[in-house]
Amino acid sequence: MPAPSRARARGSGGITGGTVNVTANTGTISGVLAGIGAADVNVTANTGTITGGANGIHAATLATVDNAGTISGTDTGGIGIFAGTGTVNVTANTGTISGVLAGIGAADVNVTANTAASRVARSASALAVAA
Amino acid sequence: MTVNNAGTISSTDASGFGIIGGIVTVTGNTGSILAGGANGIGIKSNSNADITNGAGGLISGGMTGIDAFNLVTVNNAGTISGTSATGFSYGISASTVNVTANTGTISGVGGGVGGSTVNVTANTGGITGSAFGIAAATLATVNNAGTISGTGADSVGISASTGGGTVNVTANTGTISGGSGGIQADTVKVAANAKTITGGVFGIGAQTLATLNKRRHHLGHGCE
Repeated sequence: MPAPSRARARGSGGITGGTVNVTANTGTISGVLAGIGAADVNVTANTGTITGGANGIHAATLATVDNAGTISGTDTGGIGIFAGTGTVNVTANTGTISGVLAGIGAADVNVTANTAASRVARSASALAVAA
Repeated sequence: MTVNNAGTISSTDASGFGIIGGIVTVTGNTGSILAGGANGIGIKSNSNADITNGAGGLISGGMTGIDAFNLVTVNNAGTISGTSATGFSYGISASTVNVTANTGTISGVGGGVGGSTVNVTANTGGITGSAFGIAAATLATVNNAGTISGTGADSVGISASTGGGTVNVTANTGTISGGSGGIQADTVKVAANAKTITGGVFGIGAQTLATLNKRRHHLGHGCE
């Protein structure tokens, strides 16, 4: 029976890299811990919801986000977009990026187009937490 | 071998087959093709198989509902299942699995569909397993308007190998879910999600659970 050995790809394990590309989201991507988690995360058109308890998006290295919807970390200590010692590039935001602790947290954060009507909730402690 | 069945074709041996052959074509099944033994396979092909399972049709095996060595193409409006809880059973298993249409149910105690390459081009039904809805070692390409789910606590809805595998969701207007994650692979591409991708830990993941948990704890969720 070939399938059990062919398809041994479990959720628990052992990788340190990986890439997630979401080119269009009008629905909901959610997790109790994180909506999206990977080394590199690219979200090019979000008009829906990406949410998680700890992080809406968790990127170990780089998160690149164009957002017109909602990205949120909802638990205590939650961060909307988190990249630790990596980089978060928000190329456009006309929506909401929010967290209980911070909207965005990373060693390097670049927000190049955040409209006045939108909201990036980012606390002063976010970068310290990320570092 | 070509089969059109409206009755019952069955085996009771512990490692039996409902049907076994080289190239197996089932042009229609509204009856039952069964291999109820713990290691049984409902339909076994040592080459390629093309299976049309109509509404009310049942293809079931203890180990696997349908297993093909190379390629299996399935159009399902009935039920295809792997039922044994003693092994890692699949509804459908092959090197390459093409599900061209599913309006019925494909399920396994382990996984609904498993293979090296899995293509689901039109799912409006259910594809479920306790560990995986769909598990692909290399590539899973999915267009979903129904339900694809892993039902166990540590399960994933759609999984490809975290050592280089890819999941492409070309469109989702249904639900992709798992007890642990909705989608997990080394590379995940979601071209159009209009409804729900969700998991008990992550919605879409290409990273270790341990890494995420470490971050969660670091942020004051309980450990540090």
